[in-house]
Amino acid sequence: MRSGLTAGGRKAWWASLVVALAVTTVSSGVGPASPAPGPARIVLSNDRDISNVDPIAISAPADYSVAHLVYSALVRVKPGTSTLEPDLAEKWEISPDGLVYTFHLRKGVKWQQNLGEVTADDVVAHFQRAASKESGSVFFNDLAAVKRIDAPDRYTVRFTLDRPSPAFLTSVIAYRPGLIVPKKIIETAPGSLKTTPVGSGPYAFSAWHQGADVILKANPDYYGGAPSIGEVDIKVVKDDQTALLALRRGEINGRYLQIPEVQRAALASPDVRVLRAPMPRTYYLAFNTTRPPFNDVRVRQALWYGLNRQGIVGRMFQGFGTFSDTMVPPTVVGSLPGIMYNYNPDRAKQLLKDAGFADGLPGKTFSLLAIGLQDQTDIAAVTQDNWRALGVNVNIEILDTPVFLQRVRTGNFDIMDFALLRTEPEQFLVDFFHSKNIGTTNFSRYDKADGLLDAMRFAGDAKQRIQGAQAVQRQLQRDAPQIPVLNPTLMLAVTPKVAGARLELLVYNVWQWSLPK
Amino acid sequence: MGASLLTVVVGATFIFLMVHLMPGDPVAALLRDQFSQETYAVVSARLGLDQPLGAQYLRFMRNVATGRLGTSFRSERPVGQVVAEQFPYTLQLATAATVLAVALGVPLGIVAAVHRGRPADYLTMGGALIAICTPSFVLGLGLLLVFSFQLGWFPTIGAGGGGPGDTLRALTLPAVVLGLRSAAVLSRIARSSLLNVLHLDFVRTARAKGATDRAVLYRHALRNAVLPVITMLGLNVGHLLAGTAIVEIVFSRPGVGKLLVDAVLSRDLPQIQGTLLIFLVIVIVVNMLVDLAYSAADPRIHYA
Amino acid sequence: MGAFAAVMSAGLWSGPREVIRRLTRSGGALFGLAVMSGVLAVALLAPVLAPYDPVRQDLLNQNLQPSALHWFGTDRLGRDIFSRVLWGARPSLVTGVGAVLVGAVQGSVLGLLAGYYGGWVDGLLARLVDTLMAFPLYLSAIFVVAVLGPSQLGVVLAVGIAVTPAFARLARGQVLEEREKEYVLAARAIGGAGARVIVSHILPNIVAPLLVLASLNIGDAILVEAGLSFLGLGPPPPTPSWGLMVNDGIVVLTRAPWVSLCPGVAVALLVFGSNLLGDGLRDALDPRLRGQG
Repeated sequence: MRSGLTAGGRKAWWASLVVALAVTTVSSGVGPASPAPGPARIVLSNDRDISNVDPIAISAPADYSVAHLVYSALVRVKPGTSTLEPDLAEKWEISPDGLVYTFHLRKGVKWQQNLGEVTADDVVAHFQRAASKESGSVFFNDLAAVKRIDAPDRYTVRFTLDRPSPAFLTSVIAYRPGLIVPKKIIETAPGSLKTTPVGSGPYAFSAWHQGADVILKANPDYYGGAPSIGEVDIKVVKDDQTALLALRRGEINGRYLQIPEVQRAALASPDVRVLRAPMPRTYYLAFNTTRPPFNDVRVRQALWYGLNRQGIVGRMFQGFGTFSDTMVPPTVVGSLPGIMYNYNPDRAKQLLKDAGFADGLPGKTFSLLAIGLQDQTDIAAVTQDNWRALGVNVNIEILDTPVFLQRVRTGNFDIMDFALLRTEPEQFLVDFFHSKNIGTTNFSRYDKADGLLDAMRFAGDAKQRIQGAQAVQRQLQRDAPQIPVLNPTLMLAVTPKVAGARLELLVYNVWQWSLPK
Repeated sequence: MGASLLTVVVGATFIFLMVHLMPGDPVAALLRDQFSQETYAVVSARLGLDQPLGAQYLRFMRNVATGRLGTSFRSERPVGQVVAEQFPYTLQLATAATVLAVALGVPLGIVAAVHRGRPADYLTMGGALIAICTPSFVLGLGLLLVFSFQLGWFPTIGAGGGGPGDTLRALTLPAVVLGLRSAAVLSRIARSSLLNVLHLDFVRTARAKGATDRAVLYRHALRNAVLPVITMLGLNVGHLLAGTAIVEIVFSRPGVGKLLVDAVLSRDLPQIQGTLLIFLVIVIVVNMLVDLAYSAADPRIHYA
Repeated sequence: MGAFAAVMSAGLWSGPREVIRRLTRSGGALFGLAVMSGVLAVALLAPVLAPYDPVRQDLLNQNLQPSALHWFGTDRLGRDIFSRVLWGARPSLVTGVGAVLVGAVQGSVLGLLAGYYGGWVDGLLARLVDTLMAFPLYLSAIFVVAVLGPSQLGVVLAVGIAVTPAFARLARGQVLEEREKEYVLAARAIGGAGARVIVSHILPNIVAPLLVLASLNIGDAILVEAGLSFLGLGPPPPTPSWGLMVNDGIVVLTRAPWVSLCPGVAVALLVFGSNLLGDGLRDALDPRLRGQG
């Protein structure tokens, strides 16, 4: 009799399965429709979705990677290099005193959506908007040095600065706020730029499926000629590990990989091609220099000597990275070369003894804040282990980003574990070590380099700027408000058939890509 | 109805307080790379975060009363619209997972109960336990490695989009990961409640009167064992809405679960509030339905 | 209170000796009991049993395969996985049992009251539970962890609060069923006070499904902890928590599967044991199943 019941159960099971299939098939009608994949379609992937692609409000690499394809700037970084090349401006001049920048626009460049020709009026309107606090710009401070923007004629734009600014081209004109928006849209519907950008770049924005992907279509009127790749689909894949699987299966064609363990796997995969270079990103530890015992420079230096950075780079990061004694990565202009703090536990103990802590700091536990990303928690775990050997105990607190930033901004921590991605020495140094930024980005509350920092940011020329930057770095090396831990590797992985890909800072030069048969 | 409205008001207040008392700095999280002294104050004022909490609360409740849920800090798009866009993906996933759970779980639970103490019972319950004790991100990644990467049966990322076939293929593995767990839970609940009922007097009486086992099972026992199963399904609704987050992240799918976790991790306050409020309404509605199903399944219960 | 109190009162009701006798007659329950006692013993004896310091790193010996030296191999930081799994029994057991206790106590009390009294009490409590249920497990967990900071207490409370509605609704549903039965109607008719009727008549009879749920949720708590680690909100290093360890090894899953697998099996074993024990307890406690074992 029991077997009879089993048969009944089996029948019920099959019936349910049929229902399951029916329901899932019926419900499968939803979802973004995308055309059948053709040969000229490329799928890229970012680890985050876009949130706001209005150039004056871009605050994350994913947003920039989309805006960078839709818009043009006056000048841009030549893909795969660190030199500048013409974009909308055919040529440009800088006055000998470094105060006047004049750009001569390319003629006949067309806005997408038939908005007419790109003219000097557009450029002026764009930068005025970027410089205004009311527009929602997050770059108004970067444009604070600009006294006047004007257009002597239809194809000439002139910026007059209050003071020389050696980083003006690279940090403003060829960077996020430098992507030019049409004046017509600024006047009619600037709000629409957040999610539906219109520019003059190689690709036109086609659709955004939030949480899934962004679709871009080649701009046939692009001044550089219509791109070979007709459609670009930028998909959100949060996890590097999954992204690599999708790459190897050919479901995506390009992705920046950032987790060392995955970089290692990508390098060993025959079915992907990788491009790699040092990345201008610095993982670092910062002390709250107002809290004892970290207000004592000897203690900070001791802990720097006591951190095995070779071990972290070689073992935790699988050799995908380098380390230096400065916040400014070696690939960024003005970086200070040379390493003073080689791992030396004996030296560390001596310094602690000099500071009056011959036995370390037993009985005390200091907070070490970290964001719960594996690379950063790994660094925290190794730090904890290294310093325990010196008799300095830390309690790691894993926090989410908003809480972390709140705690470090308000100085509610002893040591913090963080990473910065920047392109200019000023961005690494002024923002994080000038006393005017205590309460926001000067987390370590260090206030002893203001003079040197001001000399650097108001430097008259490139040479003075580099000298100024190095003077700041030498002082930070000596005073040790922070410990630069390592600079990781930037890796772009593409499917083997992709040609023309260049390594850039988390953006894609797709207009130069092709898929040869 | 009035009680439900009250729940919404109490719930909305609770949600507002919870969201605004949550530690963390929304402005710093929003500004990310462009976080500086100067931008901080400007953005803080633009988001209205410099106003007193009471004023913010009144504005929120006034908006709720008129059906507006505000705009997201991050994308500055209407919160309701964002949720509406993401919802179909989660509904797909949750429906497929629930169907799978019931289709697998209940019959297996019955088999186990009927064969209590025999190999079929141990096998079924053992399988259920393995499904229960594997974290969904491990199971998800494991299935991805085998079925998507090695065998190439399913896509590795995304929710499909090329047509019903594509969508179904993209839905399979996530639904299995989400549904397997519920199936395991359901099978255990079904088994234990059926075992309870099988020994009750009316079942014994029915048997004594000469009813065959199958007839007893279907006519009497199963109907009475269905209550706890309905309870479990009702409970699952909340979990299926945002509990999908990890599955959505592992399989790179859009959906409200991921939306909500992202909103929380970036302190997109209007987005968190609006999404939770919508969840609350859905949970209330589903639970009213569950209560109705209770009464239908067991006439002795009258839901007031 | 909650599940354990229910066990106690149910035990008193049908006699503790009887319960133990029935428990020991079921193979599954015995196995579950053995596993749970084993985990408890390991948790207590970890300092004696563990061959290495569970937090000592050795970056020169990362991801070593299981060997005579390291029975379960080493993890990404070169720590001995066997020692970490042994030490990990403590936080895992505390998380699992603690969370279920919190949830079961709150949930059962709410559900019993709502189901027994009905009317406005039921309405009010139902609204409360509905609101709680709108906050799914991970969200409550993220919120509580955000408020309390990343700690074990945070996870325990978060999961406890998150599983409360499940207990509440289950208890309510069962009470609705039970309260219409003759023995309860009789107890009420002869003037039994509410609390006494609940504790002495209803509770023992609804303990079985509650126990099943509790046994399932012990595992849930550990899994949520793992999920929180996946979202970057888990307990901080160097805590040798099983959930954290599973997540930590995911990135080397194809290269060094033992890093995730060993703590994963430990999680599975604990969940398995608690479930079997739960089943056994249910059978032993339920007077209606007497003699049917």
